[in-house]
Amino acid sequence: MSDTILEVRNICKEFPGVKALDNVSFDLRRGEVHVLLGENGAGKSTLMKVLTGVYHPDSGEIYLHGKQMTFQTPRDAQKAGIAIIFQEFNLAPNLTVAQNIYLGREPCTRAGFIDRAKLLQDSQRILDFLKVDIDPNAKVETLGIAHQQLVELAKALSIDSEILIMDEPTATLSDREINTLFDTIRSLQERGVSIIYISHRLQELRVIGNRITVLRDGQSVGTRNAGDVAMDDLIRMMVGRELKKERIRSVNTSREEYALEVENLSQGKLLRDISIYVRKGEVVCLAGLVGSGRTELAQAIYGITRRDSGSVRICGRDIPRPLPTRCIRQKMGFMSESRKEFGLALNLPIRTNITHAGLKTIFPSGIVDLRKERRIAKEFRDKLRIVTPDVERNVINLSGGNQQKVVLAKWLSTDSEFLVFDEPTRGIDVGAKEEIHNMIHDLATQGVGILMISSDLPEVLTLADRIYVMREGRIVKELGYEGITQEEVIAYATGGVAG
Amino acid sequence: MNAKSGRRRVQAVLKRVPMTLFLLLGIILVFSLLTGPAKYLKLSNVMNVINQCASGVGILALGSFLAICSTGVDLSLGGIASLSGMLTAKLLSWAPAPIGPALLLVLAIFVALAAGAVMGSLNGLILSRTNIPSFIITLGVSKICETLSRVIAGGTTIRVNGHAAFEFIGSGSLLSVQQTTMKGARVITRSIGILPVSVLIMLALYVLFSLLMRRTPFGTYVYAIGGNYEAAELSGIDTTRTRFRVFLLGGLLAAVTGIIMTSRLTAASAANGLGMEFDGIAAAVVGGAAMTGGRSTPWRTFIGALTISVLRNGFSMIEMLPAMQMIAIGLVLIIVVAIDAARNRR
Repeated sequence: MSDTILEVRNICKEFPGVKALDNVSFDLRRGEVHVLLGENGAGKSTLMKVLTGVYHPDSGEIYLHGKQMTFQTPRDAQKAGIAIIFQEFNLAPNLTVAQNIYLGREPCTRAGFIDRAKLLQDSQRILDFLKVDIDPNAKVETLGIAHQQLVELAKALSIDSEILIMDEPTATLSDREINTLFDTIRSLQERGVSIIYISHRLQELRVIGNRITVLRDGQSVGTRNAGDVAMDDLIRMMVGRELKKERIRSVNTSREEYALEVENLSQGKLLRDISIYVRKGEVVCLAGLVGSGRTELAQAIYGITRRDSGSVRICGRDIPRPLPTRCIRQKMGFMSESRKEFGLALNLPIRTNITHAGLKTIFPSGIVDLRKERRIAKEFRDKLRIVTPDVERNVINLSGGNQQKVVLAKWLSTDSEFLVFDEPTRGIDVGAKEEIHNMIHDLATQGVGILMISSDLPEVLTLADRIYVMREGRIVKELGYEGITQEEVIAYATGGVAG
Repeated sequence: MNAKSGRRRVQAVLKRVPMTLFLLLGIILVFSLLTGPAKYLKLSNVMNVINQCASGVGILALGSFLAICSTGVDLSLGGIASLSGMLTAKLLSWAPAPIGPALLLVLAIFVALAAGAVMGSLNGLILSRTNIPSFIITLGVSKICETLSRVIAGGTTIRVNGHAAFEFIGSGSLLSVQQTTMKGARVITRSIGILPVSVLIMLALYVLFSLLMRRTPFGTYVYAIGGNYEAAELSGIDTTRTRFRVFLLGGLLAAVTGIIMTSRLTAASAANGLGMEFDGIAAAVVGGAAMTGGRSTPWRTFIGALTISVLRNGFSMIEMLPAMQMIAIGLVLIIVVAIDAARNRR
């Protein structure tokens, strides 16, 4: 079990402003399950996309069976025997299970028609191997999420690959299905298939993994044998940097009144029985892994998605049927994690972007007073130090940090008393990050209630007055800011300790 | 087998019957009540509707369906039909012709189809080389076709006289029945074709495209592109080539429509075929296609095309003004899509 079949040497991949992979090296042996572990944004998914030809590395080499390879397209990697099950579903919902499994590789008769008997037979054989009871003729859209995940697995297996990459395969599966998956992985191992397994769930790594490599900030921190590594060590490797940052908030400025009260909110399988509150003048953080339900919670509060049950009060008033307009009327503001998609009209000037959410309050007559609009825009430019010579400049020309400030200005111009920040500093440089942290602090001091979602733990620890940790759609822990460590938060978020 | 599972099987069968079929039957019922069943459902009118479908939206709607199924839209189909119909007429009215009439007919049909293929490929080529939405590309190509058609026509209607073999395509029938009607004191005997050639061509094309969509990799890829574009790409499907073929086939189908149209009218004017792309889109959508792609089938589109033809015929039967007909068809389209959207939300 020791011959190396895949070796990755000194891979570097840079995106504008981010070094996603920095000299990453790692190797895969025949028949092993090699776990890749790391925080959100550590570079795991980027590395996998390099291995499967979706991204092309800036430098570094990939050796397959000792031979150097370059993959131009996903097809090339497939041909070389590398299959991947992506985290996001890559199925066509309107096609059947069998059609999806062999999509792009349909068995054909000599006349050029699809050999449907063979298609069904082959699909059934793979599904049987996986011991799942799915009708190969069923349309994928009629299946539950867990079954869809298994169809993805079937699709990857049908390629007859030597190397199988699984990106968070258990995220949507129940315990029983996870056991089936693990059985499948073991029988694949016996057949000599090597598996790269990406997961956040610390408990399962030692059950299924042979070796574990930890990535952090685009670098490989180290590789350990799964058998003899302690959970604490892994967590320390993941978090790493002993960055003891000064807390920005020295005094808790929270007041009596509530900015947000959520009781027993549930939404399908995404959110389960969630009760949280935010006081005015308080900074509350939602910590947790990607997919734990943090953004979904914020969206359910803001009325972007419908909740199944539970109540939401914003600034003391019940919002029985939430809609963004109703929430804004209650002085709530929402800064989405993808500001380009949901936060800004990129092709419009800074001036109009700033007044977009508050047109009714700023111009009660219903007529936009350009002079007033410009004055307000300039005011916020100076106050938030948005670096631009002219508020008539289109937002698309600003840097990420300045764009984020424009979004913030938009909500400040409506006199929001409760603000949700979803990943407020993602993808922006250190200087602007610092400034935005200070602004959040100032806002809280002035009495605004703040709910912040962040995957950046140091950020959470410098700003939060209180922390809710989410896992799998539930609030698993409420923590005060005193004396908590990153390791503690991670442990709750990953289920490394009993919540 | 107990009663419960029996009922479930009935439900399963009912589920496979497209809603549009009930809509179509409902519309036929309403019209036959409005105009009197004897007048409305008599053979000549029924064949009239089917013929209008074959020389109108019927074949072209397949092209609309293909484009919509692969998340695009083809607004050039009417223009291509117009251009191909015009080319056919122009060539057939070539006098004195340097070649015999049979050869001339073959040449005319070949040129018309080639024009459709060229224009369809132009759509596909621009789509594969640029990021311009198909809505814009096909709108532009439509204008090109329209103008070419006008230039060829030279401001008049081009008539095709005395070409029996050509007229057979649009007006001929393999089997006819005699029908006698009383008009006052006179007895009128008319021959009604019950196996019209154009209708047979249309049905053959529907059989062909149904096979293409269900039984070949190409069809699967079109559905896959409509269902999840990224998944299709990551599965190694050549999405560029597939979409190119979709628009190429659309151009060919529009050309066939143009030839049949000219044959039926024994004349071509530059205005023929204009706006037909909207009937095609309406037919595809009424048949169950979603503008987001990946839905519906050729046969459902056929029911949609029949529905549009029945509506047009019915509105003329009750002597509704043409402008009012457009309003009524527009309303039906919106209602169908609204019902569909409401059903999908659940």
